[in-house]
Amino acid sequence: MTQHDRPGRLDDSRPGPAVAVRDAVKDYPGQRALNHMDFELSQGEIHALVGENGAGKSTLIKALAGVIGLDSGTIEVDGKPASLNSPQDAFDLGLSVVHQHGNLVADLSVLENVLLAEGLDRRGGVLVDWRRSRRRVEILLKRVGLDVDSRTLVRDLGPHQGAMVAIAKSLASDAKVIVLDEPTTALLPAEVQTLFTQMRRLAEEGIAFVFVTHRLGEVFDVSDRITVMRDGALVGTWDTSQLDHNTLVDQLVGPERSLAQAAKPVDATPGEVLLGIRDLRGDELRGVDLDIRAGEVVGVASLPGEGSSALLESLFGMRRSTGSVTVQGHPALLRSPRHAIRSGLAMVPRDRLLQGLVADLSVRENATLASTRDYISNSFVRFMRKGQERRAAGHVLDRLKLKTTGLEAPVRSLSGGNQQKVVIGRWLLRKAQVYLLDSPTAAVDVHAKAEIYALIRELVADGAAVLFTSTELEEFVRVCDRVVVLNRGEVVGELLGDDLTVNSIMRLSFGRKSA
Amino acid sequence: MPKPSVGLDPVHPLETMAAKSRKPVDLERLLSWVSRYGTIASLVIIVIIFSVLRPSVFATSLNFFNILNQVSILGIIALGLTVALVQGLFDLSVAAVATLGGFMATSWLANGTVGSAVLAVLLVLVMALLIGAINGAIVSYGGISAFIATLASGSIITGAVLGISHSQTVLSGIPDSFLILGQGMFGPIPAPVVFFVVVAVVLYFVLEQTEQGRHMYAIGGNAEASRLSGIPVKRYALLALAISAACAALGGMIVAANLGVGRPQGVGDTYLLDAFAASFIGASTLRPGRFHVFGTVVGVLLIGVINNGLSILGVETFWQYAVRGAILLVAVLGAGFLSARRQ
Repeated sequence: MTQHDRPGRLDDSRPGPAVAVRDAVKDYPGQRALNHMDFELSQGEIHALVGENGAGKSTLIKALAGVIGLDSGTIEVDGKPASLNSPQDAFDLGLSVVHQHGNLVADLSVLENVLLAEGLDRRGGVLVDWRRSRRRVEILLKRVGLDVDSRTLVRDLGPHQGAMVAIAKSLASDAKVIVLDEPTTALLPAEVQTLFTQMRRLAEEGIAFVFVTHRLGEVFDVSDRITVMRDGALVGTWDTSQLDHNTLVDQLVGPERSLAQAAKPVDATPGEVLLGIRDLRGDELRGVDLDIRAGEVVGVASLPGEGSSALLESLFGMRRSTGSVTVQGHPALLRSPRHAIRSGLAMVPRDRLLQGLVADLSVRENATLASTRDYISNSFVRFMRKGQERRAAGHVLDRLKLKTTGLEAPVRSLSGGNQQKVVIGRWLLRKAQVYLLDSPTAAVDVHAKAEIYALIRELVADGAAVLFTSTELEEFVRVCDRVVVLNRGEVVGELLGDDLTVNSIMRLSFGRKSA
Repeated sequence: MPKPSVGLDPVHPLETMAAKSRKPVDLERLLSWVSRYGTIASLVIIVIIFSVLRPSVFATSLNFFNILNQVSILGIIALGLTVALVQGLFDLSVAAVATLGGFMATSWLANGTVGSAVLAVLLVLVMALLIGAINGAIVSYGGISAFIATLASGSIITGAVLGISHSQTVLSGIPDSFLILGQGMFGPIPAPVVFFVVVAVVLYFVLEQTEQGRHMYAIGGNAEASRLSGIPVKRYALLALAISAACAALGGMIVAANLGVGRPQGVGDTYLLDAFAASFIGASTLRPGRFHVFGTVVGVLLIGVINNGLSILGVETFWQYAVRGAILLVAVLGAGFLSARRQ
């Protein structure tokens, strides 16, 4: 391959940076995702791109991958203006994006995956020339330092090997710029080091990497330069040696934001402990202790994949975990959702359509799904008393101010916010004590969000306890009485009162212990 | 197809929007109507056509009961299958279980293992419930698709019946008290029709009016959401496949009683594909995409009327198969059209 035959660094022989984004603007309805963003990537460098959720990193990456077009601004590749109107354009210009879970087909071999985009070698244009293809792939695998048989199925590889195969696939199509989108999320520390070693080697060959991550420690381990984004705009680009961990966090977070706190009732009388968690451990959790009292909303914040969702799912029996949990003082067996519900727990799952609703059933049937036993005629022949069921469902859904054409309307005809109310209503009908709300405001409009906040406050006013997660840090400040921050599965801090700010949550979740 | 003459269901707002943006509203409404009422309309039209063509033979009360008698066994098996399909479980073992049921009951009674016909019927039903529950356990706890699990268990049962019987048909010694199951009359109504009606009514109440039925539809719609609502999803597979197997065994016993012989082979096979066809025609009736008892009854009658009418007209057998296939295809396409647009 020509790419392989080229000598190491080529900086001197080419003009300008490998990629330059200038004054990029991208608007989404109601939100500016890129706000006059500038970004430069030199050849042969590893450039970390960091920012909180919603800072615009993914939009920038999508623009580089040709998945979306910019509203204004230019992208130059090798000093020449490039028009990236489709993924094919990006591919042709040597820009390649490797996503967190790889762009790999698990049931195909390493060889087939590496040459998936580029195509297998052919004999006479028809039959696959396996020998030549294998030779080509073996050279590529050697370049990324991966020592596996090219006939191995990708599903049999470890996660870090998958990442290397994805990089080899980029190299096969002559990529000069490789964007790695959170490649280390699924990797163990030793595997991360292997990945970094190979990235270094490839960088010396002249490949440029954009490295997107939430783990700031890794940024310092591997990158040459760091670009920080906030609110769709460039905060700055620094040589890695110029920054330390704390200054980087300050750049990420920005000046302290004054955020109008939603008026929270100051009922300083937290009730009895409804949910007691001791030493909860699982694949993501590493010993969590927590007490939740009646009448309080407790936020659980962490970076994605570092424990917040895992905590809620473990409590609800959706994930395997060990440890002891008590509900209202009684030991609870949380082996399955069924057990958890019996103990008085309720779950509003993250994915409303896949996990929350039965789309084919009516609003009424969805609302009463967890409490059907309350409406049966007797416990032997379990006829549903539909009148009673309808009254109960109607009562609760009125209280939630559900907007619908009727209880018998299919639940799919409702808006996202109203669908979420049906899921919450299901647990009100079940008279649950502890509500686990896993990103309950995801994909609902602003108005519905406000209604859900109010509803959460109402739940605790009635003596329930709420555990809450969100992808938007502002929500924690707005909704929660206190926030517990997890970092890599461990509680690293607890915030309440005036200490509860977006910045303090972010600092803690990025692993800086001083709040 | 006739012009819509009855009131339409309120059209879904999204459907109306889609209609405005893509096609004339009238065509949308017509298609929507066809996919709901098309199978019922077809049934009516086919009855009218056959009545006009052969008024003296087809349109008689004798032939009416004849058709019902012919479809009853198919109906009982199809209704059981409908319960499994509500939960998204394809039960291919119904053919083998039907054969097993008919053979075991006659064999036990003929060789005196079981003295009473009532006891024999109950024993067979218990055996079928167990087989269905085992099917369900394989599906739920073994993580195998129902399609494959029941294909395998059906094959094992077929082999077992052949082995036990040494391929010998039970020809004599079957008591009359058993034969009335297939040959008896309640007034003018043949016994199999009564069983069909009883099974239909019972399963209607189970699916539409009980907690279990609600849970079954919920599981069929979204098993994960059902599990997270505390429904014991795995146990329900045992229940659904047990009901399906029991209905199949009952159907098989009625066949044996009807013919007066206990065949160890091929009894259920004739009903397998028709039972699926009837259930799927049913799932495109009134409530597209949803398996339900009334729909399956319509599907069973449609198949029965076509077979009977075409026979009376003297149409060759191969046409009967082709027509049945065409109607199934049209019905399922209609339902698919409506539910695809809802997404």
